[in-house]
Amino acid sequence: MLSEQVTQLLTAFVDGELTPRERAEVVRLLEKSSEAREMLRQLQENAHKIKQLPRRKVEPSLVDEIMQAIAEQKAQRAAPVRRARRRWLPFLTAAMAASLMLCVLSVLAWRTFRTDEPVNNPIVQNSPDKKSDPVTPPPVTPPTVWRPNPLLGPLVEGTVENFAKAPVPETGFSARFAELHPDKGAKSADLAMELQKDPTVQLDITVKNNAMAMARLKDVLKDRGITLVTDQSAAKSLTNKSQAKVEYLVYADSLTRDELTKLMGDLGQSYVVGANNNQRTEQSPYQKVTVAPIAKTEIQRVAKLLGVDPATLEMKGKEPKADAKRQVILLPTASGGQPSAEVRQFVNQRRPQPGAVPVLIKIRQE
Amino acid sequence: MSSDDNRLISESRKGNSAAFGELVLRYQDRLFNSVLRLSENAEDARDVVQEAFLNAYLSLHSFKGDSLFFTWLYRIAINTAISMKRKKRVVLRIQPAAEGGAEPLDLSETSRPGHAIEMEEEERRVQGALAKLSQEHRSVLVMKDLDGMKYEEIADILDVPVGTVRSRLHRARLELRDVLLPESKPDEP
Repeated sequence: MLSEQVTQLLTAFVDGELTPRERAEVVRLLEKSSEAREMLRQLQENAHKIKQLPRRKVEPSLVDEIMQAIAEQKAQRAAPVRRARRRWLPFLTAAMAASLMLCVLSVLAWRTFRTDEPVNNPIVQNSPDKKSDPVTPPPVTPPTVWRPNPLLGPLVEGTVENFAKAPVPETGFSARFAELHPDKGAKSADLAMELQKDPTVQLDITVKNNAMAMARLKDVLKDRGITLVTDQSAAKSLTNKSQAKVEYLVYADSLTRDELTKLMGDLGQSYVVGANNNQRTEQSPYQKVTVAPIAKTEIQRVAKLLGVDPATLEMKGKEPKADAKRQVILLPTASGGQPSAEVRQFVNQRRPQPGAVPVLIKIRQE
Repeated sequence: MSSDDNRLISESRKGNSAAFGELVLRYQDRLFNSVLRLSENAEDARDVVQEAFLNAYLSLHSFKGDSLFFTWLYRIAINTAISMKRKKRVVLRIQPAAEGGAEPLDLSETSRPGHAIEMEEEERRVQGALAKLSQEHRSVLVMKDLDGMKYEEIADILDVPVGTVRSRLHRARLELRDVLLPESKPDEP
């Protein structure tokens, strides 16, 4: 039986990527072992079979179909932009109208309540009251202070409030979780495509309830053999009533883009909780996700929360380990001080995972 | 990257679809042949190639030029193939790769009677064995043996360290050997 080390040398020999020293070692090995010779023969034969697979030509029509698909995609992409602009139009119009009305009413109010200057407004000047009682002294009014029209307040407040709630134009990919299940259409494919665009991924996620969302994330990751390491300060915060106002950060560097796509699809689904007769179905707390690359400042923030140098966050040059634990971390809610035991454990056990991409997930309750 | 590729990419970014069409013509066969061995059949491979070129066009702004255009395209195609396979959730079907409209490039040895049938049978057997491997193992074997890529190139495409490529290829070769071995045993004396 050949050892693992020997078979590794033999397969690398077939790959044609041995160092001269390794090659010499293989030659010595082949001289001594017939088993090694037989294995090498089989490996080379199989490699040759793949190499000899016939090459084919695609149909000439493929290029036309690709160009057609591109043209259609361009047209589709242009449509949402127009819709997005139209969505803004009512808010913009309302805001402009409100501003204009505010200006007009302010001027009128200012002119109406001020007493140290004659009223120049021809409508007021020519009013019947003024003309019918020329001897009546002008009414005593408070000093010239602008008093808002009581009707004006709600109008202004309402405008501001609505304007604040107006949808923010979407710059990157954005989707509702309910649309992200692979069985539900093209959004999942769009997400998969979007996740391929950049070397890092930031997911801004809104949820109905932070604590529920985190519990669900933990379960979904667990199903994939991935541990959600939870910093104690974040865990404490999640049990606190004020958790609704906290933005939680989850950092992962052990997930591939495909796993991430699938994870988003699963998080959007309803799920069963409880056991036996107490089972019930919970609606997903996950609402919306926006995709972007991780900003440099956020990388620095994550590194600070992990207590590592930003330059080492990528784990360049660190070799993968076959038995490395797959883990994701819920980061501390505040920086400063020594990293917690959970954070130290996460950092110590980090290993590069094949195909994995650095991911920062920001979760906030809406 | 060739200066001609650079020019075509630059033109494509400016919205010149014809320039991108030239890139498609340049790489479609090469990409198709690789994807064909990662897919279940020629029809799926064709869909993957189409989708990959479309994705590449839409992401062209993110192509930094620090790798070859084909390497970048190949990476997109591999991800597309994996994602498409997952989406379809089909049970592995082993079909002769000739199905689906693609034509063999070279059948010059067909003069010997039965040669074409033997070749087709062998192709079916190898393709069937590849289909039994995980996508991870299958893709490194295709990149190494069919496309003749170096470890570094494969590492770049898969975005993994070179050491991972080497160990993945090691496991893939042993797995392929195990898959092909039982089939060849009955023929042995």
